[in-house]
Amino acid sequence: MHLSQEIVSHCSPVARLYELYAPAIFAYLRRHTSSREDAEDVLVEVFVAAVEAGNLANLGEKEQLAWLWRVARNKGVDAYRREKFRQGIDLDLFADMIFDDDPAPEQAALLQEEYAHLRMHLEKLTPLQREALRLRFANDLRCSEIAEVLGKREGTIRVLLSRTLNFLRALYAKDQGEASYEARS
Amino acid sequence: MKHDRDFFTPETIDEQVEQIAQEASGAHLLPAEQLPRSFQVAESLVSDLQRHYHAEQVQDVASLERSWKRISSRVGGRQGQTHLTDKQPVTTDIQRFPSERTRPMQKNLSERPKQGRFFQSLSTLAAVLFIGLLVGGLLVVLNATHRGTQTGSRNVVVTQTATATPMPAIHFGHTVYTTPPDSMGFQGGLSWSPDSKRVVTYGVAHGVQIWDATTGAHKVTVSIPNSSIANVAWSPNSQLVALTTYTQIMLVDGQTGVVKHTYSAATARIDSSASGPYLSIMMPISSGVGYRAVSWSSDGRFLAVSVSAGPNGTIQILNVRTGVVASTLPIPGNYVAEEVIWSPDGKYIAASVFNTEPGNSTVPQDQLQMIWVWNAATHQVVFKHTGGNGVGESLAWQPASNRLAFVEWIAQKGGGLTTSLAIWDVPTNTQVKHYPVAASSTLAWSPDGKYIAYVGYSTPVVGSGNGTPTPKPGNVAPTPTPMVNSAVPNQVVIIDASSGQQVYVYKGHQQNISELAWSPDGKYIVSAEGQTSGDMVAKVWTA
Repeated sequence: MHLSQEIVSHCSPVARLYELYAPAIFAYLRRHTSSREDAEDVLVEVFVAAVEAGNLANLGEKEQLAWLWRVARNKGVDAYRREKFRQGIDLDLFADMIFDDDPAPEQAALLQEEYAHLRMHLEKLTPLQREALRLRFANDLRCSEIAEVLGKREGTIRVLLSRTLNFLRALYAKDQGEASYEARS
Repeated sequence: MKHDRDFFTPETIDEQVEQIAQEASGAHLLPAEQLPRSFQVAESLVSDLQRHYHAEQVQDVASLERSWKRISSRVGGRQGQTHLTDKQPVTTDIQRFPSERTRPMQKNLSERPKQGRFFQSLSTLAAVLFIGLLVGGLLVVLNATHRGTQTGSRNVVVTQTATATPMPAIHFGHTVYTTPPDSMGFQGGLSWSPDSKRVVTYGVAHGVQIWDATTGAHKVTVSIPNSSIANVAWSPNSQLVALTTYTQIMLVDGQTGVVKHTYSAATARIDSSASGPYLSIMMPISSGVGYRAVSWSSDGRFLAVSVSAGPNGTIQILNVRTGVVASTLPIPGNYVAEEVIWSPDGKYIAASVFNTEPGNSTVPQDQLQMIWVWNAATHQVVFKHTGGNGVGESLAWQPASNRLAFVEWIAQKGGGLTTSLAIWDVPTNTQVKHYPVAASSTLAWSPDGKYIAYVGYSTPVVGSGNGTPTPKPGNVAPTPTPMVNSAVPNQVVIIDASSGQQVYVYKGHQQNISELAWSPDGKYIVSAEGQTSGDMVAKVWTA
């Protein structure tokens, strides 16, 4: 995921942490909050806490990452609890006024006819497979980060993702008339 | 030997995806047939997955940008006057003021405190900052005094005190490079490479030239004999420049100027005259086919190209690798698109279109030049409004949004034209801002989406209608309904997009300004002269 040059080129330690870890943490928060706005709110809280944590800069990279994830999970839980006590509003009533956050593929996809078959194949996947693909291609996360977001082991994600892509690739090959593919496999 | 079914392996899955994505991105021109079949299929899959999730990615990036700004603001609000960074010399901050206005996040952070272990040199920095800003303030005063004799005029108040208040650019409007004159002027768009290092221009006399943005060094001239260039555009990866002629689309190496690939129109018909080949686009009886405007998709895999065919036109979406038309956007009626721009999230394609039957009395005057927007997925026209004039960059998407800025030209009952700069939210089809300013059609957004630079007029003009003089530099608010009938569009005016307040006027040009572009890093603007007579130049100046 390409963040703006403003973040990437910034020299502060927090900017560095943000560049490295914010995409994965945000992806996690999106899964555990009810709206994009809430996820942004919690993300801000996490990194403000990072700024205010006096000894964070002295920690090693792994420790920094663990600290950020712990704070993100705690604050994510806090946000979830707060939401439980909110007045309920049917968001469907305001769907057009808020974000087009999860647009239908036919609206969001550019030149949809070129890969309509992809959407058809995606429907054959399990929810976990689709989520792994989403984190890989929408959030640009690597397997170790996807594992953090999904609460799985990295090895599990590697196997899951490679099998998913091989499955889709086989369907693509079939679509594209790779006649010998099936015979070989 | 690895089994084909196991093309993706758990051990190397990250590297495989990234390698394939890199191959699929940009405009790698290796013919598809030269790639291994197994790789082709995988690349096709990865490309489709990237595109499928592209809209989500754009939204997430926007969320991360917003959050970062809020973090900067929150921390700064609590901590007061000291610095967040511990690696940035204070003196550098002062010297970087020219770029700070378009890098608000960096600026905010530079004003933020350092705390705890992150910011161990806080007290030292604070002291140095205080002294540095005092000296900086003095330099600002001296510089501002000195610049009174230079080109341009600044209308912002110079802060002279040593505070963390945002300060104006010391070197704002400083011309860093002027091209050799072109006797026939610049047209066809000029474009910054996305890495802000190179600029491509089309001077009618000198042809397409690509040069280092701030020095003019490493200039290369693209050899395209006997052909007029319609438009130029850098690829997102800064490696290639797409050029359109009436008969061809060419992809040129941005460093060497060598033509790497050419797509030709299948049924081009070019007429000839004493002055050379031409395409009679404006005549309804023409059956010519020609490429006009070109715009890259943000992932670099497609080109949106305006194609004119006599009185009618279409916008074609071409697969860069294969040259195959992936889809076609219809242009209903007798219109041809002069400019085409893809929206930042790829959902929309906007174009400045002109009616090819200007003498047809059934076509209202305000529909001769229009701005149209298509939904890229459904191919439906979702927005139509009078505006643009096909010269220069007459429409521009606000970065990271679906808001479109363009200049409206409005005919007055008493004769003459008035202009206003309008910002429209395309998805909701609502006008967000409307500033009645004396503007030519050419404009550009600052990369942070806060400012708009447009071509303004150098002399107050009283039109024949009920207009009033154009606003003079220094006016806080634009004067209503300025007339632009006979003034010279040779200034670049920068306004705050949210308030309309004039921020700066660049007066370094003598001739009409035909082209304008803001560098992607926000540091410079390049403006070029054209559409008039005499020696015309392009200038790069600090913004």
